[in-house]
Amino acid sequence: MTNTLAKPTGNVSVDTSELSSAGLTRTRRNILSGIGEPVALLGALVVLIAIFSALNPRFATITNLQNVLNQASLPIIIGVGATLVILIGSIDLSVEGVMAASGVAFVLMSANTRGGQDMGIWAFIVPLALGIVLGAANGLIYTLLKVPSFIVTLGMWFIGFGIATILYGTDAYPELTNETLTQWAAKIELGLPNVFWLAAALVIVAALVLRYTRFGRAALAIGNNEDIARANGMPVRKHKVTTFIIAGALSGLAGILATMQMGGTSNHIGEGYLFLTLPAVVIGGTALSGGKGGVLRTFLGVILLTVLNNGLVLAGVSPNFQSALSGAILVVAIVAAAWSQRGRLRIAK
Amino acid sequence: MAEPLIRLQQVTKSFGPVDVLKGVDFEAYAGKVTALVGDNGAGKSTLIKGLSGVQPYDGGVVSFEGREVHLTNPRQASSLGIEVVYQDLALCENLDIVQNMFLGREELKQGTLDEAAMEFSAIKALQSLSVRTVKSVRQKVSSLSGGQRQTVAIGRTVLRNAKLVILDEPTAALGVAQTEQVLNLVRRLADNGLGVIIISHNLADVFQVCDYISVLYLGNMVARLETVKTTRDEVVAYITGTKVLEGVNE
Ligand SMILES: Nc1ncnc2c1ncn2[C@@H]1O[C@H](COP(=O)(O)OP(=O)(O)O)[C@@H](O)[C@H]1O
Ligand SMILES: [Mg+2]
Repeated sequence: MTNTLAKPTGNVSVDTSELSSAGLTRTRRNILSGIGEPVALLGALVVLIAIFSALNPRFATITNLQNVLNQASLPIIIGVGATLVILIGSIDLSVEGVMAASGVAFVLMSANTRGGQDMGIWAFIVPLALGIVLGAANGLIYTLLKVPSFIVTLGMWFIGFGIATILYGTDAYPELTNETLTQWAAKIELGLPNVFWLAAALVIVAALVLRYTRFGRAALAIGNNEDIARANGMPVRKHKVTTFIIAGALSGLAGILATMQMGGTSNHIGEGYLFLTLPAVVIGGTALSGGKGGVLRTFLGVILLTVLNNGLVLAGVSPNFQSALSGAILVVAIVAAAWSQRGRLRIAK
Repeated sequence: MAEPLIRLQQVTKSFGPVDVLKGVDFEAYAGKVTALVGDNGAGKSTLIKGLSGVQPYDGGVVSFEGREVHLTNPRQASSLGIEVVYQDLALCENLDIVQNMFLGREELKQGTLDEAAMEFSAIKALQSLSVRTVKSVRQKVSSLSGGQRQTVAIGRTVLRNAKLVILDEPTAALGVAQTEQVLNLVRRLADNGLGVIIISHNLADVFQVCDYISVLYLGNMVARLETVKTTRDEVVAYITGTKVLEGVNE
């Protein structure tokens, strides 16, 4: 035990040798602690990449890498919100409904093949606000009426989808006419697609918030035991509502981006995203029971699943087999990820 | 004798038709450990919940540092300097010792968590209690023994500048060695000038560490004894109701 207290910061000054003599030493936070799972994930990723590269030389090309990152970006963005929600032991199933509502609102407010007015910046603000409102509704109903988040957000999925269906109406499929919008996501900037830069920035911001702010500390405490968090004066309800608002806003953003990627939208724009994102969060190592995990892990989880899907396609696996195969791999991976905690796995609140 | 740190006069509490506290007088002093003993259902927890503001009393007068106070919620009790270490400890297993000691009261520097300052203060608080049983303050609570967890919970009250620390059965789940450590810690709290109230069923613990013993019997305070002037038999007699203090009306 040669460590001594770090230099006191600010105006605290105490004889540090005296403190360490009490047997209490300042320890550098062990950087390696808890890194086992991410390392396993990285290992799995390396193995997958090696196999797929051997199967098809086109896999390990810059273009395909850019393609993979482009595909991974939306699940990553949704995964940031999902991770914040799952960390507190809740779940948000409304993602696809919110995406649909925001996506349809976005296309109809932008220059599109149905005509209508191009609302400029409002075409972004309104769909985002829609996501925020639906997320806030999730959080408020969940916390005020004490309905399980599972139920509330499932209901909100239908509401979002309903809003999208009403907005969409019965006219022809609306396509964006502005090529700047339709090409923005995949456009390569400094070697990587724009949308991936956006996703990566959101991951970094969320990781920093979780690590260095009261919000992040509260997320871990609430996820572990919200009664304890409340008893210690943490703003549990406010934290939960804020979390669902962030998740809603990110779903709204994903709806906009999905529409830009597709060049248009229908009320089905969100379909399939939740199915990809939630397993990615779990594979990344964020516990469904709450209190453990983080967005960097989710990032790795999404990349892993996207590489898997992409590699299977390039390896020539028929689409029929592909979904069965990736499903099977998913189950194995999730069981492996959750194995250490099978004793304390409870249904998400 | 000096003025009590906390004084309860004729406090009452009922749940519907059931009178749980029937006009209880009680006091505790700074620098002293006061035991609160009594059989199951005597009203100990109810008395404590009133002090911590969790469950306010129905009637009576509460004075803290000589001034009348109305304890109506935990935050307010805490801001006065009243901290309770509950049986279930209220620690988050997934967080480390420093994070738990500052739970809900994290220190910030430019809006972000000031880990260095918190770690420093946590070490200082533990050191003021001469804690030697904890190797690193960055250990997760899930890796700590019951005694170490009590240590963290007690250290947290020091960090929060408690003047009165209330412990509910702090040694109930502990082995011999760990009980000893926790009792030493309790004693040191008092030696540092804090008032300590300890609920315990273990009279050996009580006689080892307490200065005064208050006995609740069916919602009445039937005895207030100085540890050095009483015996275990006498305390047991009060607890079981075979002895009743003169002047205390049933
Ligand atoms: N919230 C409550 N509602 C109804 N009765 C209660 C409540 N809390 C405590 N009591 C009753 O008050 C009496 C004293 O309880 P308690 O203060 O927990 O005693 P102790 O801690 O000394 O064992 C018991 O008879 C108990 O059933
Ligand atoms: Mg009790």
